Amino acid sequence: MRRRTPLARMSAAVGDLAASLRRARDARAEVVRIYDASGHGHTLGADSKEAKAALEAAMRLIDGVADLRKLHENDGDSR
Amino acid sequence: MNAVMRAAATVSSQATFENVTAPYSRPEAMTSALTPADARARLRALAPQVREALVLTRRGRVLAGPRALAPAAKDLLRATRAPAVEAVTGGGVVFAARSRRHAAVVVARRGALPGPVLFGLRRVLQGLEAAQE
Repeated sequence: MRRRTPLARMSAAVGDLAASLRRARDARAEVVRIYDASGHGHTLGADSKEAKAALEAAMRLIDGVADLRKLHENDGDSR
Repeated sequence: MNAVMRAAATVSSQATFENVTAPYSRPEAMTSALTPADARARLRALAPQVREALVLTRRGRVLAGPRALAPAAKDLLRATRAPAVEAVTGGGVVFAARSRRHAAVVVARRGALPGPVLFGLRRVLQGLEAAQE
């Protein structure tokens, strides 16, 4: 097995760090994908009108579900 | 006589085989007709990340699920004409799909796998359509 030089070790560590930062950034990314009747997906451009409208509605749905859950929990606590 | 007895046994075993396996080979058997409440229950059980599900008419009237979410669900369905959509945000992911007469929306935490959820959505919509026919 080839021994790594200190410089190679350092650059591998920096590469790993960059990859994990990239994964974390991708995990936070907002994406809208549409699917045709056969199930093939296509990612919409983030600036498109369709994507913006879908994301806005999705955020309202997610917030709405969180509010309903809180309401439900509060109802449970007051009984 | 022996030939007749052999043939009878074959006919009888074939009939048993068809009776037992018929439900698995009929295309409609796996897509049983669903009520909107059943459909919602199935959608909620699609993945552990699923938090809520709604079943609507194509025009957006809620058939099962919290009515408070209806306006946002309608807006999501209106946002695109595609048969199915997945919107991933920082707070979670929303899947929506529509069929000829129905639509369904699933709200989930991040991490829900799109493939199984969208497959389940399509199956549930097929079940709702089957109930109308």
